Amino acid sequence: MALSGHELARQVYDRDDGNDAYFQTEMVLIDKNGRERQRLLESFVYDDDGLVKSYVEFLDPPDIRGTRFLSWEQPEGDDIQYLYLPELGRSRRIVSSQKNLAFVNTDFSYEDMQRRKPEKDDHRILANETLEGYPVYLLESRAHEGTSQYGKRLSRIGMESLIPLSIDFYDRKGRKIKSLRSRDIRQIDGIWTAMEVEMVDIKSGHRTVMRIREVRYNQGVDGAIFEVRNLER
Amino acid sequence: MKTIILSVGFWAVIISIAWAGVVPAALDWEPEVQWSSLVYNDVIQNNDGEDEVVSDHRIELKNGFSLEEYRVEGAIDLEWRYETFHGMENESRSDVRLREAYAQWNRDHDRIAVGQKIVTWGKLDDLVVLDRINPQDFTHFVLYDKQERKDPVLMLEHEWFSDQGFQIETIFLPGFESSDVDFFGSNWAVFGHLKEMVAGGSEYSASQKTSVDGIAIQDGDDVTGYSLRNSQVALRLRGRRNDFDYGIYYLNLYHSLPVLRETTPLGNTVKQFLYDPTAAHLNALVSSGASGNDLLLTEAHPRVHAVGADWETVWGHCGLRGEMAMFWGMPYLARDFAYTEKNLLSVGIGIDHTTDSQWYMDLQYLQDYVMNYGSGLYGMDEAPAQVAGTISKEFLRGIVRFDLDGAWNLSYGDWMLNPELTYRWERSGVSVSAGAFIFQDGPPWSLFGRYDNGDTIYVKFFGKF
Repeated sequence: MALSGHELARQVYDRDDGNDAYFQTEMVLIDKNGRERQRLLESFVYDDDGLVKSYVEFLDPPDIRGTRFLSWEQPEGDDIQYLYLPELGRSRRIVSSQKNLAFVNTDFSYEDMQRRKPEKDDHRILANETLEGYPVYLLESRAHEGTSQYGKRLSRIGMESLIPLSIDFYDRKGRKIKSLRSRDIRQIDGIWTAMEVEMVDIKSGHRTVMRIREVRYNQGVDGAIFEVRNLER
Repeated sequence: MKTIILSVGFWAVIISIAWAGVVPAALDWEPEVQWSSLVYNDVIQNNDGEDEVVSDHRIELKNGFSLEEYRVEGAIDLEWRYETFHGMENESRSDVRLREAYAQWNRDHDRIAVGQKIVTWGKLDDLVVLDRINPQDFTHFVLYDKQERKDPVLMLEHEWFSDQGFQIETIFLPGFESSDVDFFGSNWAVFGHLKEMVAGGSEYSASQKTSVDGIAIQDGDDVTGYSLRNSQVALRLRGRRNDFDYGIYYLNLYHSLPVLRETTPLGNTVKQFLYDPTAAHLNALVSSGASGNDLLLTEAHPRVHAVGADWETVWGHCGLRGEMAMFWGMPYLARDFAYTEKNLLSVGIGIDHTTDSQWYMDLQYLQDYVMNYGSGLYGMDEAPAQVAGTISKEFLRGIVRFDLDGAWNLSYGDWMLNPELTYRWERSGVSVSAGAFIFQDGPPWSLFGRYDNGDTIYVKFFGKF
């Protein structure tokens, strides 16, 4: 029996990404003239019995070093998020429902940085294709009203890795506004990982490249990392 | 003084060794240099005593360290300040300060820290209800923000974390350090250049000059030495219930901002002139015959007890937070300028929101209520209110930033605006800001009304490596 769009979206959502993970990531912001600005951050992700917790800390450049971000992805309702700014001296609750806002001036929005539950979209497999030699599903996902800043997404999902190798983002008027590419797909500790992801803002020509420098899966992680006290340590 | 020099010298040697790489391999050092140069100009010169241009340079050598094997971490930060004043007279001053210097031992369910620290309690960003552990440096008034104004203090801090998601923090301070306030002789002094103006003014008589010249303010109660009697303690329980973060507080602290206590009843005539320096009040001071100890005022720092609470949550697309506290024994001046103490209820609320076009807005409101107001206080209504706010936006993906900070005392009408534009060179970690402080309206004793003639423009360079 043929795979349905929803089943594919569910497989992508449920694909093995480890019980916990550590990433050190280089973030490069590139304007339309090719000028680059670099950031370095480390992040931990932990699946705590279905409650996915993530922690991000900026290591560079110096003026944003020490900025920390904590997110608890709730099974229902909005996520609980805290931001620690060194100049404020304390963590503060931040609104997680405005997912259309840019993540620290990059081309990624907060929505782009989070896993999206399959139930929030209507999914349809449009075709089976190849992308740079990889067999992929072309999956159309139309967002339910009020659940996304986008009207639809066209994703090319690697048949073997179940990683979106490319995603085209369309606004509610059907205009393509952003484009994501995943490159350098590797198996790390048995888990498929995109070592480089690039997001392009079609209108401005601005790009953001996120390159994983270091990754570790299932090493065991101290749950205290994902507590507010760790932000304010 | 000798102790301070020895202490600074000791830490300077430690830091030098660390920076030279002569440290145990197990010790992980994270050195960082932060510097700032603030140059500001008083827009209108109102008297000869004013400094027209002042430059304030600060270099802080930050040294974070950790001994992972022993789960110990901490910091040893040293700061050098150099300030120049240009006006009728040119002068400069320089000093070296030990900033945060502490070690912290992390365990599974608790954390113990010893040393000089800065802590941040409460939820409001600019207004203060509960964030009273550290004294603040008000010698530059509000040119630096609240976190920058805080001075580290020696403390023993213990935090206990429960498995149920709440924590109890206890802070013990073995002594007391006052907030740093200049009363005379600078643009930001409480009484500005009043003494210089009278001393140099041809319109003042010899007896008036003698009286004003004799006014002196001495350090306060003997509470600054380290002893059990002088110690302070603060407790906080923090947790989260449903979608609310909350904290419950008990504070037993000295009031760090000094309030002037008279030595003799005639001292109240001195205070009347200082806070409202009219010719009539000067004549009253002279005709009162005040001299010697009458002219001597003392900085009072009474012990204040407080219980309070704070909370934070999100509501739709807004962040919401608040603080409240009941204080027993807050110091004030009565209507006749005599020193007095009252109980105070303080309630604050804050809301912030980021628009879809990434404008950030933060608004805070504070309502005070003096419980036993009686026949009244000088410069303090029974139920004064104030608001403070920020609007900011980053342009060119954070290369350019606009900030507008403001504060308005609703009860007295005085207000302050601080627009600022910043350009960042992200790669080099350097930024330059240009801005202004505008102080307007209100009576001359009010917080911002006092600096009604002190509008200031500034340029600030900042770097972090």
